[in-house]
Amino acid sequence: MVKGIAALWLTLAAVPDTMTATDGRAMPWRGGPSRTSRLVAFGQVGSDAARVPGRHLAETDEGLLLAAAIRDVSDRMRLETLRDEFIHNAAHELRTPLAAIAAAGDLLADGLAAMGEAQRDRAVEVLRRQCERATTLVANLLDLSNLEGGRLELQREAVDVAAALQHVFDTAPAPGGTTVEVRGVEAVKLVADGARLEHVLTNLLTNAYRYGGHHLRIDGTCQEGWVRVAVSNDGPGVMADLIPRLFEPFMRGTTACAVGGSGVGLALCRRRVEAFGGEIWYETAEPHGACFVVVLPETR
Amino acid sequence: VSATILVVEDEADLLYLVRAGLEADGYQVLAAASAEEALGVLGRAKPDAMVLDLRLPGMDGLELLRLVRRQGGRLANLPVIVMSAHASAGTKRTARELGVTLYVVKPFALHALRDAVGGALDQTPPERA
Repeated sequence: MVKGIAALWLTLAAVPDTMTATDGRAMPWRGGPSRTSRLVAFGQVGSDAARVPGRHLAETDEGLLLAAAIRDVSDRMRLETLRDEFIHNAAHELRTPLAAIAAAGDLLADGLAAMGEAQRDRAVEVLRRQCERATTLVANLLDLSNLEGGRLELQREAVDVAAALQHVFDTAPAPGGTTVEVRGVEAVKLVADGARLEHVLTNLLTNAYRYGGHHLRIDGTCQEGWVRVAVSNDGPGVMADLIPRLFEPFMRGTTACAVGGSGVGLALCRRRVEAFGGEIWYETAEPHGACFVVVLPETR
Repeated sequence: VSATILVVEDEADLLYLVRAGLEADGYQVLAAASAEEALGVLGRAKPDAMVLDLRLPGMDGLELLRLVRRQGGRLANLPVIVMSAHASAGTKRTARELGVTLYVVKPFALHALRDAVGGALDQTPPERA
């Protein structure tokens, strides 16, 4: 397969000894009748013959005349593969809240009479929380589809960061043994779509639960009309080679296969935050760990 | 004396529900939120069966099971019921090779898991006898 060429279009007036790709790379083309077969083979290697848009061959006084357009679809094929994996992972992710919903329903149905009030309340709480979790996963899928199709409709409203965080913790509480320290978010309000901002914060927090250490911090600060919310942890941080592609769709670290995740969370976070007029980026936390920073317009 | 079941599950809500269901059947339940925690529990207690999630933070469930089986003795034959969202034939085959008694795919009916535990212990749950 041809690698390293984002898009390759070639139009040949006559078969040359070498072809030049759009990235300036010279591609050798040996002489003789094999030139034609090489072209076909090249099309098949990069993708398949059906994806080579045009190919005409004629004998002229100047020699063999050939017009060809070859497109390297390696990236598109890679994306298609990643998309298939994403659908698989998304379905897999949905099984977890569905399992809790099904088990809570069974427990309530089987043991309603024998259950104490506290146990009943807890089972109902699980139902509510896991329904919200499943809803968030479905909302992510819909947003991804709408963002790609340019159909996403956002609300712009004043969002109280402390209240949004409280709701996020209700939906995605920290696992046992993990502490979350929240500072500087009291009375801080920013402009965003409230529900989607909560999705962003939920994503950053659940990533920290999965990949971070046992101590998380959320720091809010306001400066010159902007609100900065940093979500950091004391885990191992993101591997250096992964950082440049961290916000690309379908990116997951090597540990992600073991601990789950659909691979679009951070890509969606970036698109949502940018749609609100803000920015999101990654920093290495000190002395170690990951830190994700979201900056959005402040409102008073 | 009722049987003791070790439940290994990192999702707190699911752990709570499985525990509540098994306790309703009269079992003693020990809980672990990770493979490492489970190894600690297995070092100091002697559960009669283990209910195991495969996707865990850190060491995964199959790796835990390999370690458990390698320790030999009573752990070589400890009845294990897997509850997992992984439903691939390959994962199921590996689990079978590691001596898993039953493989329950999430989402599952809680009574199916409770019955599976009873079946793995080859006895009727004490409270449902």
